[in-house]
Amino acid sequence: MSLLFRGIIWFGLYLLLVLLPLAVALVTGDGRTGIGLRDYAATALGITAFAVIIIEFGLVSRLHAASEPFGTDALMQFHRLMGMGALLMVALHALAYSLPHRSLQLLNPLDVESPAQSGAVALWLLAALVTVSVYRRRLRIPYEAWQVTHGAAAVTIVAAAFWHALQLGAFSAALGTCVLLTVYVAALALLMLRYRIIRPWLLRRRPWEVLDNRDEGASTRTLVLRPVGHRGFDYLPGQFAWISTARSPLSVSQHPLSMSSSAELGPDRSIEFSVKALGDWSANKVPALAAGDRVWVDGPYGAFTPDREPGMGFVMISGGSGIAPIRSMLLTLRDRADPRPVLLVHASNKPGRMAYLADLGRLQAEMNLRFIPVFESATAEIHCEQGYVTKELLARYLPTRRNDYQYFVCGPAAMMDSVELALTELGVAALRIHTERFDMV
Amino acid sequence: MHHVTVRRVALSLWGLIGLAAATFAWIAAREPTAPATPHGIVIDGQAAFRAHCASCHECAELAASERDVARLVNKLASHGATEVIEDLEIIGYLVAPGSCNNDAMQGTLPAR
Repeated sequence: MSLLFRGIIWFGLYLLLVLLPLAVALVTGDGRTGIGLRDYAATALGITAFAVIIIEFGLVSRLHAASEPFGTDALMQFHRLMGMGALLMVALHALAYSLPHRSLQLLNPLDVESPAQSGAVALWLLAALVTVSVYRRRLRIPYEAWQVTHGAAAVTIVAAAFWHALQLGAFSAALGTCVLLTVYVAALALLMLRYRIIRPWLLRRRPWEVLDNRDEGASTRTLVLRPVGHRGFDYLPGQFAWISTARSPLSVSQHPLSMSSSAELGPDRSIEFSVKALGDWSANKVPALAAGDRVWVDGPYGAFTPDREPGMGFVMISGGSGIAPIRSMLLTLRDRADPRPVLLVHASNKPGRMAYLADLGRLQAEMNLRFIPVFESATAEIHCEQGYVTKELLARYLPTRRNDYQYFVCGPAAMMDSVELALTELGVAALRIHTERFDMV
Repeated sequence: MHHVTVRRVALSLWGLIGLAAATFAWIAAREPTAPATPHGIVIDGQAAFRAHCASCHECAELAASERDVARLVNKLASHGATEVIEDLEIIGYLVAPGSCNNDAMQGTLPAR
């Protein structure tokens, strides 16, 4: 199925789900009571924003159906943009009702006497949720704390907004729209049940243990995990899994990590994960893991894999810990004795900060690989490029028949944005560029 | 997928959603309106005021003495048989500039 056709189907379905409550409200006409154009528009914004917020849950509930068509990276970007849009719509909805009546008290979430208190709670909580998600790193909020509060805040927003709609909404209080919105909320509850309870509960029977925990230098560790009493899972090179080191898989604290070993599994079916010390968990808990420790692995997920993208060869561009999924792709191609050419451009600030540098150099002798290390600061010790991964640098190394290749880019968001633009400007078709941001939040 | 593509898709969807909301408002506003919801709630400030308040209170009296919206909310919540949505609409009507003058000019308010 072509990407365009896939896009029409999926975004058509998305629009249908978002606009269905509005259509039902209009067709049944129960809430039409002459409140004026402005208030009708505000009502429409409120109902639609509610549907968007509900569907936001579906996007990030680890549903393969949601992530596979376009990949987890695109899905997370989409989730983020639609969340910002939902905030804008909710704010317009609230202001459209409040400003003409000069009753800004309606926006006060602490005013227990306000009939719109639950709506105000939803508005301000959504504003806080979006702000914290966008500026988490600048606000120095740990990922684990963000993960817990993000989920709790999102559920509270839906509860408050649903109560607000039933309490005040003329359309949403009418039977047809009310039933439909209740179905949406029920679907959300089922999703949450599956995502937070059923799936983790099933994982209890599928524990993994730490086989090895190697220090690779450059603040990076390789965790080797082995399934205990089960066969683990097969995966495609470049995919990722959610890891929990808590006592129970029901723990909210889980971390998305790319598999960095070959997808051609060995007899013990162990899997390697590369973990760079970026936060409290990766810097403190991961190094403390010892052989025999129990961990929980939920996977595989993601569509960032060369197995889905036929091509004459591959260009892989990574930065920092973005090397993890790329390493899995390279090792898999090597183990399969794949003859197709691979160009790897991997960037770091200096050689000592680049994990697997020696391994990648050795791989050139084992497969059809050309490895170009790029460092910000110059080094005389190894042959490398100096500076950043720019359009000019890429132009020197990209194959002549650029659109016969598939391009995989993984690294920090800023680097990826510039590399994507550079590749497009160099004539690479956007459909051939596949991305995975590891620091989306 | 290219981040610019995702942004364009999201913006296009928001454009379509905004268009749908505007269309909804336009259709809803131009079609004949029902005087009340199936639950008997009057969703129009002036109509709700007439139905629930005008028999005992003059518009100007409430609008002049009850500038504090919180007090109005309290009063409406503890007084009379209005629904919350009606309270909101009545408040909006009372605090809107010139609303009572219009009523007086039209002579629509019943005598106290």
